[in-house]
Amino acid sequence: MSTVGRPDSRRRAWSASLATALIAIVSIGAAFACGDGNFLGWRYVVEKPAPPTDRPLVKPRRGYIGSDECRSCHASNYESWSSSFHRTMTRTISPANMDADFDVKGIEFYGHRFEFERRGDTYWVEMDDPDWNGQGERERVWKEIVLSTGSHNFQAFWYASGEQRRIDFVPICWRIDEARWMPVHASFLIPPDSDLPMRGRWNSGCHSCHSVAGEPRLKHGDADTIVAELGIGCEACHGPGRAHVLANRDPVRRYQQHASEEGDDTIVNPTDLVGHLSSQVCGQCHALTDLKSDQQIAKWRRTGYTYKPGDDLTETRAFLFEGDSYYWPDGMVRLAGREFSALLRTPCFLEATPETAMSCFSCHRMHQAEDDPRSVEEWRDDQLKVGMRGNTACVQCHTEYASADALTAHTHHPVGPEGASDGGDSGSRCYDCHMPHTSWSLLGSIRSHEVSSPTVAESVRVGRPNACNLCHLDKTLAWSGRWLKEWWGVGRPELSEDERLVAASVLWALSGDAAQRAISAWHMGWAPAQAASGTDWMVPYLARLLDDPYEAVRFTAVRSLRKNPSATGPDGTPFDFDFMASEAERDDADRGLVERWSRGSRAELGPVLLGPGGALRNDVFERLFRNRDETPVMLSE
Amino acid sequence: MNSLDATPTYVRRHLRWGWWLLLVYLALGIALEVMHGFKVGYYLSVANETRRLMWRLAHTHGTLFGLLHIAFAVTLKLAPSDGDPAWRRWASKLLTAGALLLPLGFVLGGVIVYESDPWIGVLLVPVGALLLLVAVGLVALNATRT
Repeated sequence: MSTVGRPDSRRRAWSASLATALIAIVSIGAAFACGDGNFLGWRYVVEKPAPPTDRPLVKPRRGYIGSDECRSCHASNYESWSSSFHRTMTRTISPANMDADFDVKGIEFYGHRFEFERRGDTYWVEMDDPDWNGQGERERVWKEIVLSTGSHNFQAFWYASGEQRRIDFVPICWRIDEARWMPVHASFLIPPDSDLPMRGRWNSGCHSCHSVAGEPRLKHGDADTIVAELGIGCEACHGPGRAHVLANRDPVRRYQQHASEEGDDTIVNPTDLVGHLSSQVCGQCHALTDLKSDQQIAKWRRTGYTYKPGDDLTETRAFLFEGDSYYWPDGMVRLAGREFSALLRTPCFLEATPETAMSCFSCHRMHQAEDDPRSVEEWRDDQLKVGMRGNTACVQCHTEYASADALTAHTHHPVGPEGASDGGDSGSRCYDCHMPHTSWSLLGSIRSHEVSSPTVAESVRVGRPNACNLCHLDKTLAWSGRWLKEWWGVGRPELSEDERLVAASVLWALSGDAAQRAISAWHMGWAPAQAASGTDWMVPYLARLLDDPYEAVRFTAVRSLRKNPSATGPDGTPFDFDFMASEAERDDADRGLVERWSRGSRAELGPVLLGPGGALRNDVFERLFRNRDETPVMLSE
Repeated sequence: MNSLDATPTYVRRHLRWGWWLLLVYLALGIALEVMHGFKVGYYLSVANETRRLMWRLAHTHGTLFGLLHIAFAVTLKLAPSDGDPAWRRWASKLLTAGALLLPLGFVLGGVIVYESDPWIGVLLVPVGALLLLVAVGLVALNATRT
């Protein structure tokens, strides 16, 4: 063999090897990038363990893909959504997702004891057997918590029932700002003797709005529930994302989209939807609705709601404005979380064209803006746009009130130091008169989202506390009626003697139904009302509400008393009391507090029943209390 | 060494390119560090993740290509060629163009970002990458030959 040709053949061999290696590297890279976790039969993605079979199955399907798929392209929106309470509405249980104190050594409510235990990364509760059939001795059982609901006010818990994928409510929950356990029953404004359904509640109701694309799959009391994602994920508002993801793998399409003014037709952006369709995206959950036919209900039991963002919600659902105690008698919704029901009755929504109508997005923003100077915590509380806590929210359309002079002329109250956009502590703040706190949320009043104008008639005929008397707690309905007539020409209804002589808040606190009592108690702790009305006189009313049959009213009374300087203890410590204390303890607390308060000196103030020398007019007080409206009220979100 | 040998010219040229690229892209690295230090949202916020990625890539690639120029100069010095062979002319031009375009593409790509997509200037990156690949291929083949 000649040696002359050897270097050439070696070079060719080298070149061929190099080219082969390059082609192999590029091929393998492409296969990994585009592959499904399988390359030439070799699986390079580790198999996940099979999901548990005793709880709702999380499985993206029907075009849904889950929020994590959105992250790589929409990092900023993903981040703000991650910070929101929407994401954490439903969570699997892990140390990172557990807000409640499991180190507590047992707790007892109404004779039912609960013990807590953490086992590794799992959390367990021991309680009376929820499946006890009433025969023999009731056993104690340990239940593993598998899911939780909420992260804003409460964290409530669910355990696997052991029957298919049905999960049941743990009867106690964790109140986050109070850092305490309490019965789930106490977190709602519901009658003391009412039963709150605990079995399968998530599968048959909650999951519809607390997860994405839920299918209840209910059959004979069992549930084989499947959801695309736990919590209120991106696709709850933007619709199924699979087609969008697939289409936008094409970089040419993406850059065409970037250069175009048109929206991407593979995904829904609620703020781009026309008119009412836009707010209906929120309304799918934030409204009281019913399916329109038995056929639809039967279908819902199997495969859930058919509505997707961008659809016309009215095609499949009827909006409700009466029934239960979720509404004031005139149809205004008073249950929080149902703000779209209120918006539907608002003139700013009803009387405008679809293009100009007020929508949820007039004031709210689901993703915090890049230039938003507020902290994430501040934004996520109500997910309001910047400036929308003040008058800017209304003045953006009602420009006639943009100047301080015009606003003052309208409100007859001073504006704050920042002018018309400020509104001051109250009085000149549009919200306080036109969106007062007459809805009830989880242990607190929230603003009604039905924009209306205050009247005394609404209080007399419907029983709804009017905005004037929710700030001027020490004034009568007659007083409000006089100013409403003089300033705005609002008609005055016929008033009873008590309505003419006794402060409206006192009537609601002593003689009102549970909703009126709760709202009155809440406003006695509301800073603008305290500033306008004083606080000292409130003590005996809040003290009496400490002994209210409704836990929610007692809880609210305690919170307002904590903010009342006249309720501080003898050593100057702020008032505190366990609203879940026994009836006897509550009675003692009421008496003790009033006795201590009575020792103080105060001036006569007729409307709040302070007679000569500032003494409480017990005869009227007790008469009004005996007339308490015992109509059951049920406000459970 | 042949009197017509252009090697010293190439060596000087690529040393010059290498050190200037190092200066520019190390300076960019320092600028990025400063933006980290002062937590500049334009660079660090989640919405600007793509900008951050682009400029980090510009910094690393620009610096690396500066070193590549120096390595090329050293290679020419250690293995000089007679005359001015075509492969060297082409390798020099392509290396220079590629090392300029690729990191510049990353810089421009980060100036404007559309959520996860960089500005269209990022198209310089694949062009530069291709030129560099050919340049490195030419050098590799000739290093094998000699």
